[in-house]
Amino acid sequence: MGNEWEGFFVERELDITVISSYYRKNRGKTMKTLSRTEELVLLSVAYLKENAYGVSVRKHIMDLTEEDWSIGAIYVPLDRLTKWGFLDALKGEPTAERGGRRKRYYRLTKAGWKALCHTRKINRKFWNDIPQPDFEKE
Amino acid sequence: MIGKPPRIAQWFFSRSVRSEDREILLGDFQEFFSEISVKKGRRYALLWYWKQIFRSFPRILAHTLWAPFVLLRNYLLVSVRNFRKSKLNFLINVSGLAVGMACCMLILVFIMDELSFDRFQKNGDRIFRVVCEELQRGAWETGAGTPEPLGAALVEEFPEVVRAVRIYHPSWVTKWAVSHEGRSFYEEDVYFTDSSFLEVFTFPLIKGDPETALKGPRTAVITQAASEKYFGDRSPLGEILTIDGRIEVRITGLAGDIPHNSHLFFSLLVSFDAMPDKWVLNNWRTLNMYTYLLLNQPHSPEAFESRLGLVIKKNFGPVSDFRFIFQPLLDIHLHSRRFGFDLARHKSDIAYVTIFSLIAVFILLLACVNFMNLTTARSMKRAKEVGLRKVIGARKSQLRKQFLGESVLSALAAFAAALFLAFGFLPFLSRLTERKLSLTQHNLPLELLLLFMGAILVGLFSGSYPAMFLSRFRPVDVLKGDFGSGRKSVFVRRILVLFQFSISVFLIIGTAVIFKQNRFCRKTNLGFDKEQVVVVPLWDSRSKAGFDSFKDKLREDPLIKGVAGASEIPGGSIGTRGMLPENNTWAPQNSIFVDENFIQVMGLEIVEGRNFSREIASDEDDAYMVNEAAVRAFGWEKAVGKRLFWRGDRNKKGQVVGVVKDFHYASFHQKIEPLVLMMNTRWASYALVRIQMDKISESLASIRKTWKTLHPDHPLEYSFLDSRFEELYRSEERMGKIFEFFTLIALFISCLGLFGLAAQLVEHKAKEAGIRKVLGASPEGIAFLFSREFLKWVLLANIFAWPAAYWAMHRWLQNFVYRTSLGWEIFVASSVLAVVVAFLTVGWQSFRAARTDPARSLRYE
Repeated sequence: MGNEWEGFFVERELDITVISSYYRKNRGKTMKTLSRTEELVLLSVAYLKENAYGVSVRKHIMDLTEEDWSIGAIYVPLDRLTKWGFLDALKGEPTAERGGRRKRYYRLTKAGWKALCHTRKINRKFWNDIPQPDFEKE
Repeated sequence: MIGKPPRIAQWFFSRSVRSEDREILLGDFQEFFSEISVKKGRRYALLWYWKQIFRSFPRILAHTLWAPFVLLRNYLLVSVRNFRKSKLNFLINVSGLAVGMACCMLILVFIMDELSFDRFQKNGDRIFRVVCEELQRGAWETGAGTPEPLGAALVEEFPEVVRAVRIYHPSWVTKWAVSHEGRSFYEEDVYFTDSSFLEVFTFPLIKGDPETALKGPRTAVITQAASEKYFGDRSPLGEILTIDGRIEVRITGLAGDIPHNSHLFFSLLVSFDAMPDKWVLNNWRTLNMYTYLLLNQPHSPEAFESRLGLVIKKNFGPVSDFRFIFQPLLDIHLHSRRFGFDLARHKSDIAYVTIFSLIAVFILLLACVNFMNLTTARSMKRAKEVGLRKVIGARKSQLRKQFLGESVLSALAAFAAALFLAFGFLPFLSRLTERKLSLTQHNLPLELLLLFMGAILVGLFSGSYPAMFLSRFRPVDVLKGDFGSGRKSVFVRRILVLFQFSISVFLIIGTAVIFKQNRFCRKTNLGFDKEQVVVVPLWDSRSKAGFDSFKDKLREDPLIKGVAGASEIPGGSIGTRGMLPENNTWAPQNSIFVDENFIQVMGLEIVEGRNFSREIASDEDDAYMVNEAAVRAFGWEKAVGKRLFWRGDRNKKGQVVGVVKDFHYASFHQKIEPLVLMMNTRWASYALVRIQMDKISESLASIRKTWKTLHPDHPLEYSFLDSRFEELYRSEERMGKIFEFFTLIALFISCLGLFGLAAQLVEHKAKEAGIRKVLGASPEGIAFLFSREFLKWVLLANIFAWPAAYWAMHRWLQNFVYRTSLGWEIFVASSVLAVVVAFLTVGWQSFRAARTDPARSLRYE
């Protein structure tokens, strides 16, 4: 989004057309099960504790899953989770390797932890009654 | 750390993300970048970085386009609502702008037309006309006439001169009788010219070969329009035309109609060998030939104007009061108004172009100021909107953009209306300027586009102040209901009124001065009696030859008071002929061939000596009369008996027999020049007939009858001498009318603005009026109180307008040697007019407000 967006809340019409289209997909999802990516992102942030920011979260997920994750695949959920209140964003200190720029650290919130627990519970429920499938007959 | 992404890439990157994420993402991406450069090399990392940027482009683009669109939709909605809510105001605003723009467009069309003259000539930048300048009493007098051998001499002398074209179009024959098998017409524009005419100038032939068409002997090129008169639809090629009953020419070419914006305007081109007046040939002393030169490249003529001195020296001897100047073709239309002797008939002046451009700018400025004024005045109504927008987070720049957009919208509405207005008024302007003007004669789409952009600019300009003003409101004040005293804005608005009325008063004074000068030209005694004189031109040699019998026959009628013959007439163009006065040097002098009745018919006064006389046989050969200016110019003390030498068709050597009192035979632009009258009845091109004032129609009938018996196959043409003089001031008269028109418009726009402001004020002060009334004020008193506020500024405007108008009109009057004075009464009358008009505009409104029932305005308190 470009610079022109600053102060666009003045416009009622804008609220309806643009912002709603942005949220429509995710409406009512807040108390529901997290998606896989969201879950992984939240878990990584929880694991990384004080050092959870975009780059480290992505690195952690890529290390564990041993797959290549695009930047967008991590950053978009990070943003979304922050908006939902599952993550807090904090400004860090500027560091040299980033050209003197700050990091945005993420921290798991209580609501985030709840959502994680909820998801784990659901996962367990699904796994609980699944027997070892019998593949030998095929 | 393995290095950073290039700065430019970082910049692009930062543009493509939200400002609040910018720092974080830039940092994160720098980490990714260094990681990739470690793993796969810097080159790969660079590529990767750029790829990220490019991939975000479509989204950025979509956003940057979409966001303003959404905003725009809202602005549009709000604007339309606003326009609807205050229809009158919107109407005043837009109509003011529309009238202003329409005026501008019309003036633009006029100016474009003026500037387009002769531009269609392909060799335009290489064609020059030779003009002659004579030093006469300290001032250089210019004329377009040159000696016949000059062209050939220049071609010979200067390698730069490729071709010379002679055009013979004598001043004493303005029309030629041209006939073909019994059909005969008077043709005004017959040019005797060289075969190179068609090569130098761009007048394409529809039929015939331009190479040979005028090679002669006795060939002619006719224009389409003229050809239809003689031959109808038939092809004119090979037909024979008889000019003046004695010159037979064969038509070898048919030219397309001449563009209206050409200063050369012929109906017939005749090869030079058919030229009737052979005495002009090889004669360096008469200036009767127009010479046009085609140079090999677009030289600046100064380069060899100095060398022209050699040519003069060779043929004239050492003279210092005479020189040739090369005039560029494109300058002819606008830069030769002062020329005494000229081929171009619809000349204009660059001064008019300047003046009208200025008027256009002024009127547009007026309209813009109006717009600013009214929009700002209405700002209170918009203040709440502005406050609310600001509270929700609108920035100043956004509000500015919104209001600018609104005024651009109004400007575009005005533009559409202006186009209609301009189209509607175009025929009117064409009549006023006597030009065939059209909006479409140039490149229409381009013009429309330019005008459209102009309209947008006008919108931006006139919206600039209101936008600045409106966006400055502080939301706290506005929403609290406290609009502030607005002292400053009121002051600015008053200044704008001041400005508008200054311009209006200026234009009114201008109109008045032009009107007064025109009246002066018409009413001043010219030194002869121009009323009641009928001019009958004798175009062809038969009517010339029949002049004597015409005269004798007319004299029998008691209604006719006198008949005289003359080669040229006052008010027309007067030929110059080389003269050598006693005790003086050779110089071309204005001269007319007249008969012995000329003095009596014209009502001239002889101050010394005697009139020409039929009884004295030698008068025809060697008698001269001169005017007082000539006596002064030649340095004579007693003129009668002085010798004068003229080299024309024969050497006419003689002496002055009488002196006539100075009379205005030319326009008031020129000083009364020396004039030599020579007696020669065979040269009469005009019969001047003095008739009785109260019996005009009977006298004209008598003239017509006499003409009919003598020349049954030629129609009689006649005009009145005074109308010829009016013709001299035609361009001033025209200018006056146009000025008047635009002054009215300027005044209209100013009043419109004042009207709007007054309406605003009255609305604003309704309560004050109510309270005043309750306390016992009279409606007149209240109306006066309200009007006073504006009238003060209108009065002040006069103070600014007066010096400017004085200066400008003083300069304009310098164009005239004989001019009226800039009396104080003009200034006072113009100011009174402006004040009265302003008072009517404001007074009516305030009076209406003052008359309303106070109960109504105070009801809600």
